[in-house]
Amino acid sequence: MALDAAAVPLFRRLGAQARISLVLSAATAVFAVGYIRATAALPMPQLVDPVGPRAFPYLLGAGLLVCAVGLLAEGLVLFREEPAVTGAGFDMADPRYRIAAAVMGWTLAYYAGFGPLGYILSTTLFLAGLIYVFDGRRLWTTLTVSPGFAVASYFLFNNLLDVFLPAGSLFGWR
Amino acid sequence: MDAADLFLHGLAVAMQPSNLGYIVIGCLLGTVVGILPGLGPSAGMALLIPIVFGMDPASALMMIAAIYYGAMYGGSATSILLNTPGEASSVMTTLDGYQMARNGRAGAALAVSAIGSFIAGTVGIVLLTVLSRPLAQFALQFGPPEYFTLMVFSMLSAASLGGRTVARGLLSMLLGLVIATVGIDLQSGMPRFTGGFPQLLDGVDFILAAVGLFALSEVFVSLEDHFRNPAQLIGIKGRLWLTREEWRRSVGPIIRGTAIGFVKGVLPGGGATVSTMLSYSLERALSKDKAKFGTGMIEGVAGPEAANNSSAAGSMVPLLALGLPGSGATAVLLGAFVILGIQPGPLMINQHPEVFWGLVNSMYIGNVVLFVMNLPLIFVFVQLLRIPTGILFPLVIAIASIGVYAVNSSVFDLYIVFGFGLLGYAFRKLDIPTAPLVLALVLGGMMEQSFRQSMTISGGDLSIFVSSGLAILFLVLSGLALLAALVLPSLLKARGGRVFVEEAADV
Repeated sequence: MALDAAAVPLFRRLGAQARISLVLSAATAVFAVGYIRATAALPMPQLVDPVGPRAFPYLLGAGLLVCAVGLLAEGLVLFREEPAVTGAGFDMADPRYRIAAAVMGWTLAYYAGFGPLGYILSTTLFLAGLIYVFDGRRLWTTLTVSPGFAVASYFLFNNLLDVFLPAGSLFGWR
Repeated sequence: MDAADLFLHGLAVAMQPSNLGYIVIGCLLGTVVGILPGLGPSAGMALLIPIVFGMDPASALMMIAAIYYGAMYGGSATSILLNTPGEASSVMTTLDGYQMARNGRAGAALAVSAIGSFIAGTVGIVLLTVLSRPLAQFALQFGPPEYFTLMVFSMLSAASLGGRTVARGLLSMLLGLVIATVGIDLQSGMPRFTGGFPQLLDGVDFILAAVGLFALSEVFVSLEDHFRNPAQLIGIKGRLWLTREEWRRSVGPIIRGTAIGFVKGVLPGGGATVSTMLSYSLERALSKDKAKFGTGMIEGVAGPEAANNSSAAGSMVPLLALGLPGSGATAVLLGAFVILGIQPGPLMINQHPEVFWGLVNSMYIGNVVLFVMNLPLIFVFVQLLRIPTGILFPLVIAIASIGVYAVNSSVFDLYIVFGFGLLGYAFRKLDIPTAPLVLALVLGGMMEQSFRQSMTISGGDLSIFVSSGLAILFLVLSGLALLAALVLPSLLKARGGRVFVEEAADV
């Protein structure tokens, strides 16, 4: 059943770029207000230059509000001829986003383990996970490259470049 | 000492055996970074800056600069053989370079790229040598209001000309400036926007932003597409040189590309990418065979590659003479200067002549080294393209993590870089350019300093920013840059060039 164009909400009639602009506009406006409020809460010292530590952030807050208006105009005017989004747009079911989310999660776990597990163990585990998945599940490559790189880079940085990487606080090593 | 003596002194500094070694290592690393898909000059420099900690500043800067222009050289091989631009400035090279490779002329495409890059790079460095000193002398007249308005011009140009739309570029720039306000306020000593984290009292280090936005986000995007459309590497066929006819067709584009690239490099905004687009569009407009562009025309490789490298030399002029980067890559380079205790700008040429002249002379040497690496040795470097990306990208994250940890020996920094990685990923999905954010983060502190110094001088009167001819000029130029960014897309669309802008913005 065909819908009357006027009955469809404006947002649904817009193309992908226009939608992005409108969402960005709203997010920027909210962020700008929050930033201006945080600026207003900054203490003002007695002896300071004529404008103080708040002036420049206020300017930036105002700039962000102007930018939000610009993004709104961009969404409604610049991209008005763009064809409307026919599918669901940003779809978390798309396998690509799930891959990216998994890699991000694995990276965050790597950083969480960096101090407690130490550089060698955390890096070996991190590399092994990614290389096994993204290099065709070749176990031999995974088992040689991951610890090989971790150990070699640890000794290169610790012994030659004087960059001391964590040894692992969980095991009592510093 | 007069200019000739200083130049010769700089040559002696650059020719020291240790410095020659650093230049060669920098060129080697830069070429590797340029050739490896997904790593551009900005990410490459940000990743490798930690290895120069503790080095003599002149040697360290020679090496970092060599990584920069080495990456600009190396990017063409990936474009020509893999149809995958290593960085945005190599997008135009893919259009005809890859087609040349498919037509069995990969050798000629690589040769014209190396020759064009060498000629353009050399001419660009000569112009850099000639122009930097007078410009720096002129800039000595600048006071805080002039510097503030100049930074406004530089940042607005980079933000408005570098992305898909003006508003999104400005958003990126403003977020960079907002992040730059985090930390201790230098004039009052008050902490600002630290959220109670003592690690943020010193502010957010630009390396964290550069690594997260340029390297980490690139890995996230590349890995999510890993299982789709694997790129096909074309082997180098044919002699690695040009026929007489190809020479004849390449000379004009190289000369024009050199001129366009240098001028665009000196001006802020868009950097090398815009210069390659302009060069390609010009060559197509001048050609009698316009319809053949995109099918393997050597002019479409020669012009953009010359523009790309001459732009790299041109972008060093405002960086060295004014201390003002005009692109993401030169912002990272400025950050390297600051980390090493050198503030580029008008005073550097007098206070650190060995650094300035040594660096300029090292670029002549580096250009020759890169020419050798990119012609006879290209067969060796091309083997890098055979490294499986399933191994390469995880290693990039591990290397990035070491580099980030090395800055302050802090795990907290790893979380910040992860945050910037997420932000960079979101920016790419939302078509927001990342370079203005890094540029603004690097310049933000100096910009606020100039603003408040101006306010102190004027007693809080904003009219100080229109009190001198130069300040007014920079403000007018800022307005023109914004206007150009609003009008240019319509003009390009009318001439059918919009697609190039969008393709480049997508990379």
